[in-house]
Amino acid sequence: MSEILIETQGITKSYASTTVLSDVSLRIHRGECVVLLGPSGAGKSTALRCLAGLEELQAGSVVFQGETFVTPEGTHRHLRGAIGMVFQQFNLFPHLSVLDNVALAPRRVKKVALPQARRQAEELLDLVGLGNRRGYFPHELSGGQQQRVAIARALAMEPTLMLFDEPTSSLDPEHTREVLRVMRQVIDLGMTVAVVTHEMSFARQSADRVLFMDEGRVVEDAPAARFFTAPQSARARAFLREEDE
Amino acid sequence: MTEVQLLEYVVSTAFLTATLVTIALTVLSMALGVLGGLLLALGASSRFAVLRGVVAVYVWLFRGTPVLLQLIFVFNVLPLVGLRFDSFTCAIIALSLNEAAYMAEIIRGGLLGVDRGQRTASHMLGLTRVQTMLHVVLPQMVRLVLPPTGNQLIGMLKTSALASVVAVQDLLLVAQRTAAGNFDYVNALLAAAVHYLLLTTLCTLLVHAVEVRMDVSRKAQRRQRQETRALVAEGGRR
Repeated sequence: MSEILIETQGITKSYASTTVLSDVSLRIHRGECVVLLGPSGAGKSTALRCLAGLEELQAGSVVFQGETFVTPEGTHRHLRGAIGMVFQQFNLFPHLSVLDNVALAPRRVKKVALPQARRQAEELLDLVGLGNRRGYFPHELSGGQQQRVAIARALAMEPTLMLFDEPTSSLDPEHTREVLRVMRQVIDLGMTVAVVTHEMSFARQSADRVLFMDEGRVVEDAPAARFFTAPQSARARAFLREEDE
Repeated sequence: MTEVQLLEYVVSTAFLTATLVTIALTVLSMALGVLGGLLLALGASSRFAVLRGVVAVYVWLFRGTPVLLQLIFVFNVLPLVGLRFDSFTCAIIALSLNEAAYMAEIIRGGLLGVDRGQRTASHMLGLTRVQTMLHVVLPQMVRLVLPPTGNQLIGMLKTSALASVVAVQDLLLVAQRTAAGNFDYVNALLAAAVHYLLLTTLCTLLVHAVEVRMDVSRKAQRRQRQETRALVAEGGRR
């Protein structure tokens, strides 16, 4: 297997008295597509947010590109967009046009000149199939289109890792399909990707590896093919049976 | 002929100059009040408890006492500690200190009104806290606070009349002096009222114009109209 891009080492995360993650160690290799599956409340999204450095940890650490990134003391490195994230609620900037949504971070963080940032943004919008919507504002777009803009916006920072936190959970089936298609394109570009999703067909087709979580722990960590054909844990078998129904 | 007298007062140099004084009082106090309110609101949402405490005490103090008291206090007490200002400056100081307390609450609400997800997304894109504030949070906050700030502006226009108490030559003071000098309270006070009404109407229109300019859905409509025109033009050429 190729080099480890990011890993968590025994991370524990709790809010007040409830423990959301307990002693979770997981790793994602460069170029890999990892899908986090599991019932609601299993801690999948929290695990993803920990990878992004968005959560305070009670124990353990996150190591990104061989460097300690997050510890219980805090976040040790400014990522400057090296980890791209796509959210369930899109979180586009409502006061900016689609083009400026994509161009903002390259301009301000990487100090790319405006014409060049715009040109790059146009290319990315073409990639996600929204080249003809560059002057639109987010509220004029469908949910699926907004999420595709959000993907383009994250890609604009040329991240080494893309995290998708339930990217299609607030979309109808048609828009879900169009977003999943774009995500597959991103994977085909060779991007390292971690996805929290309930879309089993996407996991089956696109995941290299499945992390099955339940009650704040990684219960099963297996290549996707094996996970779907011969799940090892009883909990995963029950989960897949329910999903099939 | 009282109508003629009223009109003469309205266009007299004394009243027009006084109107300018009232405008200057309002604009300066409001600008400083908004600026102060912004700083206070940022302090109120700070990570540092001491800063939050200072802001809370400030708002408590200035919202909890009459502006008129604050004005007279500034005018009479500051000279005792060696700070001597003319009455116009005193009025600006008192009015803007007071306004800052109200604007702080309005802006704090505006900052809370911007979705948390906006900050998370900005953070993941690599924007610093300051960049996030400047390019993401503030532009959205401004749209939220614009209507209440318009209200405050109109309120300030009228509150500025209090400055007459410390002998600022504003609309109200000039009206009162004219009235007393000519034994003509009706026309002099009505003339001032006409000016105030014109100014508040102007403010309302101004605030509305700014709101329209900042409205994203109107920007979108403008773009749609342009696109339609372009399509029509293209069709015409064929």
